[in-house]
Amino acid sequence: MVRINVDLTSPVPAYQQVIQALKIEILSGRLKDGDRLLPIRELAKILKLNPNTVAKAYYTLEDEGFVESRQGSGNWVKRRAPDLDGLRRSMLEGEAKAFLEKAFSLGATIEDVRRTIERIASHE
Amino acid sequence: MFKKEFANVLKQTGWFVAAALALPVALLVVRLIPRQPYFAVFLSVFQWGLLFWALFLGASVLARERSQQALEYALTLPYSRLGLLLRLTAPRLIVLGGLWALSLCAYVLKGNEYSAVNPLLLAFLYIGLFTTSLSLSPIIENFIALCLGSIFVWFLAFPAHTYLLIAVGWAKGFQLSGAGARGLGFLRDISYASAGYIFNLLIFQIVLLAFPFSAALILSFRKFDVRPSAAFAKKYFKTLGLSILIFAAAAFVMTFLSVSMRFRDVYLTPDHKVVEFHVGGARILSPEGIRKFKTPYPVSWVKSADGIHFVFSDYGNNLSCLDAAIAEVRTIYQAANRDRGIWQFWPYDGKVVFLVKPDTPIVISLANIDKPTSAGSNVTTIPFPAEWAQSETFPRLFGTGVNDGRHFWLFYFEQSKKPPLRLWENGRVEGIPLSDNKPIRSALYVNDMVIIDTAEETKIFQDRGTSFELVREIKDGISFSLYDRDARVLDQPRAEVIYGKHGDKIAKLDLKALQVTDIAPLKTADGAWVTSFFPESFLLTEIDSEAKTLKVSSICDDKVKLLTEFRDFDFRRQGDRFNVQKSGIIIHRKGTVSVYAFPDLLEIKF
Amino acid sequence: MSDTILEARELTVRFGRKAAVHDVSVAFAKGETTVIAGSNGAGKSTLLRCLAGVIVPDQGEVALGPGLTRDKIGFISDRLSLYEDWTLQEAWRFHKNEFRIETREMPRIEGFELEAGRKIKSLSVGERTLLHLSLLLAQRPAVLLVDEVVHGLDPFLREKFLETVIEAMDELKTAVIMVNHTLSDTAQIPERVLIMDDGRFILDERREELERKVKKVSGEGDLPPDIPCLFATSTEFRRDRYIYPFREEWRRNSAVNFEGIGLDEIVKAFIGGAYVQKRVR
Repeated sequence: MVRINVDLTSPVPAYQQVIQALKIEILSGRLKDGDRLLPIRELAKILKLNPNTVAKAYYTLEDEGFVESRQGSGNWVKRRAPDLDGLRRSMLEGEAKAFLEKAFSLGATIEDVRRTIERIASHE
Repeated sequence: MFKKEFANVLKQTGWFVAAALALPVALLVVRLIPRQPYFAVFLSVFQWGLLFWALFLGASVLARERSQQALEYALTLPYSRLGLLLRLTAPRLIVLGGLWALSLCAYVLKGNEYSAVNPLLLAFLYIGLFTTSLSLSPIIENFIALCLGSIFVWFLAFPAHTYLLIAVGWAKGFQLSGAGARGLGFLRDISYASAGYIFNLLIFQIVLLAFPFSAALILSFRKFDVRPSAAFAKKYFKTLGLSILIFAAAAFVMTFLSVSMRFRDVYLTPDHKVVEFHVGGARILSPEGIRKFKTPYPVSWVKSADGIHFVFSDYGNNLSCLDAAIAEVRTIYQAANRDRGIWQFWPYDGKVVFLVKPDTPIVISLANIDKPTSAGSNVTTIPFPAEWAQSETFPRLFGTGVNDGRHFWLFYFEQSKKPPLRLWENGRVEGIPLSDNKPIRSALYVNDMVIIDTAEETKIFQDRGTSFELVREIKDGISFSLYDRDARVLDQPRAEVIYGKHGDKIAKLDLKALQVTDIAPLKTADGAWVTSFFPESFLLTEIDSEAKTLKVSSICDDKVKLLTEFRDFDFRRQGDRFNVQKSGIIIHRKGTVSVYAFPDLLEIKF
Repeated sequence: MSDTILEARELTVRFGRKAAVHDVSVAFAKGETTVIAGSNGAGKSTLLRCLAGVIVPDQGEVALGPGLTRDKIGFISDRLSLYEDWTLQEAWRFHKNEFRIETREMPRIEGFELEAGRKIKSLSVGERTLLHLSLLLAQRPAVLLVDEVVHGLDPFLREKFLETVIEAMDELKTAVIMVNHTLSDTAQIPERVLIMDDGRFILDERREELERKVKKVSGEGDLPPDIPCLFATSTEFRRDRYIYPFREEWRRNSAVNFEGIGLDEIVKAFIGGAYVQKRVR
């Protein structure tokens, strides 16, 4: 089951969040090559999103090469993976940036952040 | 929607029919009404119940939507407001029409045996009430208020019609202020008589009521929605007001044109002038020209006194006389107050006997035609004695005379058990001993004898001075009759022989031997009348409906001689009639009047 | 717009003397999802009913776009208008005939089954709502007008309702116009947000735009004066200021924390502020 949570209060638009989540699923290998994505309608129903929103996400993923859409049968994870490492790295950076923004808005310093990360990581 | 609505209306109508079938049983069983065949009661219940059902059908047009909270849903169905209205209304109209057709069938098959109302007339009432309640139902949500309101509005049509008739009368130049209730009744009578019941129902149920209410509904329903009535009601009432004005104007014009001012009473004077009366007055036509007379009040009844003087009553309760010789109208009598009217009158020998209603006990009044008067001051009155004084039936004057210097008048009572009587000028009354209770068809006073025909026998009574004695009974199963109700046989006439009808033969009654002898057979079965101007002449008029002819013959010296035959005369056609007078014959045929003068019966034209 | 499917032109609707909808014009595009929010009595339901044809406007008109016919418009409201005495079967047969629907069986909502013989008046509010929705969807509507029904449904039916609507949006490309008080879990469905107040539109924006442009500042502390404050609340315990239209550069230039908020709160801010930003033409 795909784990996607759309945060309604986030400044990130919903379709972006969907894209991010799907990319994570694909990059982490939970969604393998040749797997079929949920039909637009189903995903929209589950997430209570406008199907257009889900459609937009799927099209963007297709543009970026993660997914291919086959006429009449839906959207499939693409067999030939793109530069996964580079992608992984840029996604990581993106996630880190978002996390840091949030941390700083809470008033944390770089030191606080580093200590917190180390503490949590040591418990994982 | 249409089918569903139709099924729904039929189901509800089933209740109505069941009630209509059951109610007569209840009424009869509980003896609430006198014993009658079930079908008679059912027909009445059904016909009048249908009036209420028409109200219900109209009022219930939106009832289901309202009671089942489905109004919004109904308004989203894929057709226009008018489309919705049509689908809801059509089934109701169809069911109403169907029920009406059923009542029509029942009436045609059996209704003549019972006193049912002509369904054709009721149809107008159904439509009027139906459209009123239908039209008001989008406006009034509460069903009871809607029904009561519709009935109230429907009732208003009746006085509205009366006011319309008053307006028409005013436009025709009649003076109605002194006419009282009878004067207003005149307009209704005139309208009904000239244009018929159907026309009048058409006016006040359809033109004054159904049309404006339908127009208001149809034109404003486009704006109908779920909001409480205010916005829609404004548009509706504006449209209704405008429609009422327009249709009232149309009704006015239609009624104005329909009130017949055609000359209905036409007379020929001995010097061959034609005198014509209509509701608004009279005119005299002669070779010199036309003299017109306008009466302030509508003329109700005209009688010729001697072919020169014409006595007429009007709705202002006056009795007047037109003297054709000097072309003048004189008032003989004026009723003291508005509620009394000239009930009957008989001119004779320079005088006129008349009865005023509602005088109880009956009083006869006597006036002189010739004496110039405007106040009617020379009127004498003689009361009937108490037992004959109830005016439940029509007294008819059939003879007058003078004995020992005292005047008397002979009356018989139509369709009554009371025997005929002689009234003396001092108030004394003698009964004529007609013992059986058969209705009198006609009575004649001639040669000091009273001849009475009662359909199966003829009785002859001799005047003994202060009483009458039965001297002859002709009992051969048919009576000898002389169809003559006008004033011609007053004035104490004398004759040797009278010709008349005896069954299907022309016969003569010998006034010396008091014998009836048949002299010629009557050929046509349709209608034959013997009119007398005795002792000078007797005429036989015969109608043949098939051949559409009117034959006029003279009866003289025991022989019947054909004088002339008029073609294309259809007695069954409305308005075709004829009138035999001393100077000539007047024929109303296909809307035109032709006058033929004796002795040659040449047509008089001006 | 060339793909306008439904348009209101200068609509005015009066109840008595008061105008519930005042000279409102708005156009909806094919397949567009719109939410109309606003305070009570703002005129939202009235406007929706005008679009549905239930109310006839006193002025102005509702124009159907090219190819749209009345039988392709579905309207469902919390008034739950259906013939109560009918059974489901009768209601379906009637609806089928009126709207010339070709399918023989009433379309079923997965997981939601009702006996065909039950009378409509015996159904609960939620059941009637879903029944009505399935009737409407059988029409294969191009426009679906939904008035305040969602919040009256229990969670299970609510889920079913939204799923069904979403399915229609995807399959039929139905334009959905919803009138809602509170958005909660429906917040992501609409693409366009209209806010009505006092019979007029005070806002007409794309949802994503709106989410970007409205931020909240909590707590005490002064705001730089040139930052537009749409609405401010102040209670004993908190003070919130809502900023519209927000610009990203302000985040860098000041120490103030601008929070993103959900659509519900955005709508609240607008209603509270009754801020007339632009009249929708």
